[in-house]
Amino acid sequence: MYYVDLLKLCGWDESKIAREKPRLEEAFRLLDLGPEEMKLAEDRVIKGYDIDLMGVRKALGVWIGGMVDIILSKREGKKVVYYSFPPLAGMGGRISAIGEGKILCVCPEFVIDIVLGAIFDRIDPIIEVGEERAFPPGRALCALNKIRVGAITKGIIPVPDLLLASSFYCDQGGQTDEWLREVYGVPWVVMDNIMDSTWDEFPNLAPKRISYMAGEIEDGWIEAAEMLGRKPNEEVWEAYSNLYNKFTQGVSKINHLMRADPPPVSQSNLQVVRFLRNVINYNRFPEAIDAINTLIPELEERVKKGIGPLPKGSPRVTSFLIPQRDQSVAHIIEKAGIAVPITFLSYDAYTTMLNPSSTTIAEKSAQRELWRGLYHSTSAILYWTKKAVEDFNLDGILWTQPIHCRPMASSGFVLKKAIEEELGIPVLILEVDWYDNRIFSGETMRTKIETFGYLLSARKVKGKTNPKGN
Amino acid sequence: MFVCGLDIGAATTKAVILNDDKIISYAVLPTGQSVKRAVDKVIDEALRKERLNISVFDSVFSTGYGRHSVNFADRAVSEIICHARGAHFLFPSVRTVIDIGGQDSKIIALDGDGNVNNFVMNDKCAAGTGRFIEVMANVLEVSIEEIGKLSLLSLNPCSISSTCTVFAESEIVSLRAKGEPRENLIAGLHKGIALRTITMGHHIGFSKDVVFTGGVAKNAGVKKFLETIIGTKILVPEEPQIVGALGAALLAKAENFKREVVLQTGPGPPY
Repeated sequence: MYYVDLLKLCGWDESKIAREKPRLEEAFRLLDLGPEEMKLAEDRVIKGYDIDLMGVRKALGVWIGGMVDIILSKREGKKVVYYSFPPLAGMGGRISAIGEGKILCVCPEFVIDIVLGAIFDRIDPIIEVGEERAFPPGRALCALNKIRVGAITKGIIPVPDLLLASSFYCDQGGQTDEWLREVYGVPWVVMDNIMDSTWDEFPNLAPKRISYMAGEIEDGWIEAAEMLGRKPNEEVWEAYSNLYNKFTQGVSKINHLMRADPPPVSQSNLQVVRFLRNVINYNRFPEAIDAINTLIPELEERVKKGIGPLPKGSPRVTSFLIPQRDQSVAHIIEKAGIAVPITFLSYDAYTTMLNPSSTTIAEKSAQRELWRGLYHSTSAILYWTKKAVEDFNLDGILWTQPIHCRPMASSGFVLKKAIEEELGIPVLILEVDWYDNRIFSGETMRTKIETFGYLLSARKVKGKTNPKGN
Repeated sequence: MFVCGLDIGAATTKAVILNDDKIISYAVLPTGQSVKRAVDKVIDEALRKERLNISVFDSVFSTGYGRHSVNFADRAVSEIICHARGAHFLFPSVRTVIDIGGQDSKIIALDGDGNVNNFVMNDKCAAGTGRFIEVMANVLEVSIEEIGKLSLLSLNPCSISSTCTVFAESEIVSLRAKGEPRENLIAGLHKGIALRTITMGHHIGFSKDVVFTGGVAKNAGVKKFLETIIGTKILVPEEPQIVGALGAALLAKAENFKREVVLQTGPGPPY
């Protein structure tokens, strides 16, 4: 079986492989992934990830399993529901949960980006088809949505039965859903949000924003359940929230371990673990929890021994998200001697909101979402970034500015000005695309990152805290 | 103590040989297709001028896009750090370096010791770099040596709105067809380059003294527009193309500096 070595590398044991054998073979056949592709993927996993950590390997395995589930969903008689990234936390899981195994609710583009992008390096042709069909290149259009369109067009993933369209974060997900509605006649449930906020309102959350968002979540949940012929019930919601919180507590523990000097693992490895929470389908969630529970003691051990991929005393930065299409940028950062103990998307801001003050379950959800900051405002992102500088003892910020992401168009530049002026630490903006590495030059990036590493090291040596201090 | 700095750029490869604090030889050659061949040739030429042998070097540092391809270099250092070091060596009063090379441009803010405090660098597009000027010189049938001087003759620079090399070329062709004098077209291009450079560096500022390095610093037209827009005189080294290689050589010599950083941060590559 040509795929066994890769799956074992990704934390699958023999019994699990045997159990899923027919599904795996069917999915790999449909994806045209043969022995050669498996060898290439093995090589990429070995070179790209910290494979001494079984938790990381298991997480990669969960993504592969999640991909197989999407590919086969329609053939296995499931109703398929798609939502966009970044998703409303837990919505996909809740919808899946009421389906009792007969509904698959996922964000397919993110799963494809990790499996066919990071692991198999076969994503560019999918993005190109997305560009041909719906979103032309060079126009500030998100690669994730190109992936969704490209993958459906190429028949890699099925046309869904329902779309959960939302503008919680970005209009482009909604526009992709419009395209799917127009071309394939897919029905949708639309959930709206008010993004506008007063600067500096955060961390206070305006009650009207919570109640509006809660109303949209609740209406969307009820409408989606009805359209899928299911009964929405709060017990399912509650049960899923508990599962979700269990994972979140694991993330929080990892974040705590990442405060160590040196951090025990490079951030790009953690991204594949953490994003399981937001994206992976419900039936893989226990595996995701197993991956994080495997990882925690492994990291504790490293912290106890004082080891990590970089030496103690290396400069520490935060970022928004390390490009994950492949590990090249992460490796350039690491080779420049820069540690990334935390990224914005993995910051445990929201884990501190395990007990929101709101009363209804929808309002609690809304309160948590707004508290994360991403759905709130740039000022909220700035608030949490400043807190991360303090909590993780950071020396600078290496902000990955996604040039094709409209919601993030100005945040990096606002953040650079504010952080340099208020905290006096250097900020480097790297213009990238987190999901599509065709549009930036690794070499140019290397020059910037190496210079930034030097700048941070030199400042550490001199004990400087103010870049204007000369 | 003989040290060598190599700057392998997109367009040219440069070598500088230092003996203690004195530049004893340098060479500049096109990079061409093979970095290895360019490096061998440029070192040979620099050594030959002083009748030296390669075994004379105590240390060799490399910089530029091809810095990681030089197997025998003791260390590869980013060109931003090297340009800062080289400019500070030549002009100790420098606080800002504008470096425009073959395919990129950078604005570097320095402290009084020649350390980088802040920097910006283009990375998405080669408009406003040496390659851009080469393409336009070709379109206007002017030699790269003459293009700067010609622009100084213009009293009324054209407005070239496009930032893309290909579209700017179309704009030039169209304006030329309308009878616009060549010097006005060239001056318009140079003004555009200066404006783009200054926009890029706006948020880190242009503290005095400002030093202009890289091949484009030889272009008197670009220099004039930069000075006019920034409102300050700009210093240009006698040979602006070798400043990066000079910085690499200075870092190769500054063993104490190197060790200090390495000791504090462990064995990672602090440059």
